[in-house]
Amino acid sequence: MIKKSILCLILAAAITAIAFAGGSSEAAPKGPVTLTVWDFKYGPNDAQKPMQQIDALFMQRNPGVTVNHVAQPGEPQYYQIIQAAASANQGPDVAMFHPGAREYGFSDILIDLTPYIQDIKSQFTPASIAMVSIGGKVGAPIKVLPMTMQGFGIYYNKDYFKKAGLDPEQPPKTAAQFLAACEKLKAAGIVPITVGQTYTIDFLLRCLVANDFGPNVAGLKDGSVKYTDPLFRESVEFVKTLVDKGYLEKDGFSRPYFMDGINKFADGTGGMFVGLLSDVGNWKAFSDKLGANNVGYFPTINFPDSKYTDQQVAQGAGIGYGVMTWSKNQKIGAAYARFYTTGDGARIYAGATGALSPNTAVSGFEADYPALKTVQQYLKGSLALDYLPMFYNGYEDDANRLCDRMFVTGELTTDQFITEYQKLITK
Amino acid sequence: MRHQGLERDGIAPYIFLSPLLALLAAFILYPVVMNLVASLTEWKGYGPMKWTGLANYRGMIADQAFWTSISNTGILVCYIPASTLVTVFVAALLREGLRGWQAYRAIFYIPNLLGPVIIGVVFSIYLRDDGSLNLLIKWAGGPTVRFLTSPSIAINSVGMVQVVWVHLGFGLIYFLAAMNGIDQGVYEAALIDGARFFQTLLHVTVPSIRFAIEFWVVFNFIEVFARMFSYIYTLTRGGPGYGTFTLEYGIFSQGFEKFRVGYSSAWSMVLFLFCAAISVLQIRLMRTRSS
Repeated sequence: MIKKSILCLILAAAITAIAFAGGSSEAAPKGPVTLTVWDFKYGPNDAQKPMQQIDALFMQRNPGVTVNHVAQPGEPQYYQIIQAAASANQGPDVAMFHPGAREYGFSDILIDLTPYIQDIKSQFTPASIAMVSIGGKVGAPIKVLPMTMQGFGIYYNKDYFKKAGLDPEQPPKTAAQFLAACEKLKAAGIVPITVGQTYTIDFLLRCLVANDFGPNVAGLKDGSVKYTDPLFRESVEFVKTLVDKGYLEKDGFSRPYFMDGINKFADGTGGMFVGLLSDVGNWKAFSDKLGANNVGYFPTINFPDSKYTDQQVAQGAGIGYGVMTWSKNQKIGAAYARFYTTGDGARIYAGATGALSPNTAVSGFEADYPALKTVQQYLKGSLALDYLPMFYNGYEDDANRLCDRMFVTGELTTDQFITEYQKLITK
Repeated sequence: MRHQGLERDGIAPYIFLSPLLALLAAFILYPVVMNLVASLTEWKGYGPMKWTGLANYRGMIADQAFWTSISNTGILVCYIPASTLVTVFVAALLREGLRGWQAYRAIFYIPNLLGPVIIGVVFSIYLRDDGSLNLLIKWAGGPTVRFLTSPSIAINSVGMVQVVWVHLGFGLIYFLAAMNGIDQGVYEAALIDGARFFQTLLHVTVPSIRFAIEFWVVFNFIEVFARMFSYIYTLTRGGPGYGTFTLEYGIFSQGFEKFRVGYSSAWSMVLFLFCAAISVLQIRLMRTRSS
């Protein structure tokens, strides 16, 4: 009898321990549960297929749970819908967010996921954990689990490089080499840099700022580093040269969507493109269209005066899932977010979309994609923080309008642009 | 006076009016009052409001984007006379019994059948630097016209498309209906006196439909101030830079892109005052005309 009681106690303790560990992705609901997920990646032309696969696997491993995955529009409409849900205090159980300012702005409607990931926290890169922690402060509540990491860099079409008399295995890394390469591409009748609205300039500036300030980019936030730095001016003037000489395709600035620029480059209408590391316009999207061995990559352009070279601009986390405070299924929601960011879920998503996972336990696509191999090499080298997610909602819109006025319409001088750009930080 | 009315008519009229008054209070009065309250707070559209007094208004006055938005809205207002002239002129042409006028009327009405989003997207493709209009211009030997990438041209592109072209179809139907009310004898007398098309238009048609023109102008003011958003959002998103950034677009941008709903409400109050002033003007015009 005593033995039976002890056995029962041990069993009860074990079950309680498992339940409180939060380590199990298998959340056992008492009855049938419908988990509603809002997502800006679930469109039929986006990541819907792999997400359906992941959802099916999650439902299979969590009997009684039905995932109602709802495709929502992209930015900026997506966050307006979230804002509307927040004002009604009802909406999805789980929603996708951009870590950084977007996530922090909505932190009061997101639950703290820290207790749910204690056992797997070490799998994520420190940069990704820092970025999803409120205010970017390590140790602060984690409100979103990171699905991807993000960054920017320059992709190039090796065939066109050959056609223009350039060495396809030696990307133009210095400013002088870059200008010379653009000139050769132009002379060969090839658009040197395909453009997708002003985003191309925005992304290029972010790549150049990585070399301007290296590991000190975060200092923009506290004022220890400023855009008035001569190196940033050099970057701005360099971009202006690219526009003035017609190396940045002028027609691209009036394209209705950034995706138009991505599609143009993927269709083989340009020598280079300032693209992303995850999500869209990445190594996989271009390699699948142009041929895996035809896509080259380098992260930035090196200036002779700069202290830093070959800095890879990176966001610790690009997108991720958060669980809403009003959800009645918070535990299952947290399990769902875990499922997408670890193990099979993360592997399926990364494999199908070309997203780079911040989970170090997910890898293994380099063999098929030389461009990814190059990206990974740079990621192992010097990383510079991307400054944009540090700032308020709307910073990107304000920054893009300034880029428009400086580089597209010519309303601003370099001095005015730099002054206004610096002002954005303190807004 | 009110008491006399109550004594004379009883409570019945008020009971009949009460559903409408309740709806007006819920959907007009409450939002206006709430907007005024929100404009005095720091608020992101949900959660608690933080009282900031007139800080949003002070910020708005110091904000260059606000003045640019007023200036851009002003430029669009300048297209109202053009819209009125073109519409009255084309309506007069059609009234003359131009061969195939029914077909023209149908063609001109097409913009009204298309939604603003469709029109915005179609023109964003049509007017871009490598769009079909520029291809035509290039084919004819002309330079690329920066319809959407030069701020001074972009705001005029918006004016031409959204103030003049989009309103043409509805305006034609409206002015043709007004012209049908003119006594045919007046036209016959003008014809006997030897009046030509323009003389008839200036001295017969326009004075006879003056009230319709006044109403049209007021209607267009409201359209420019408060109903341009969907076109601008889909055509230029307020750009390039702040090239087509209007007061209405600014309200959206501050409130729903930057989640500064309190600040955006201050902008909304300015728009409200403009629209209220136009409505008062309209009511006065109608009163003058009826008296």
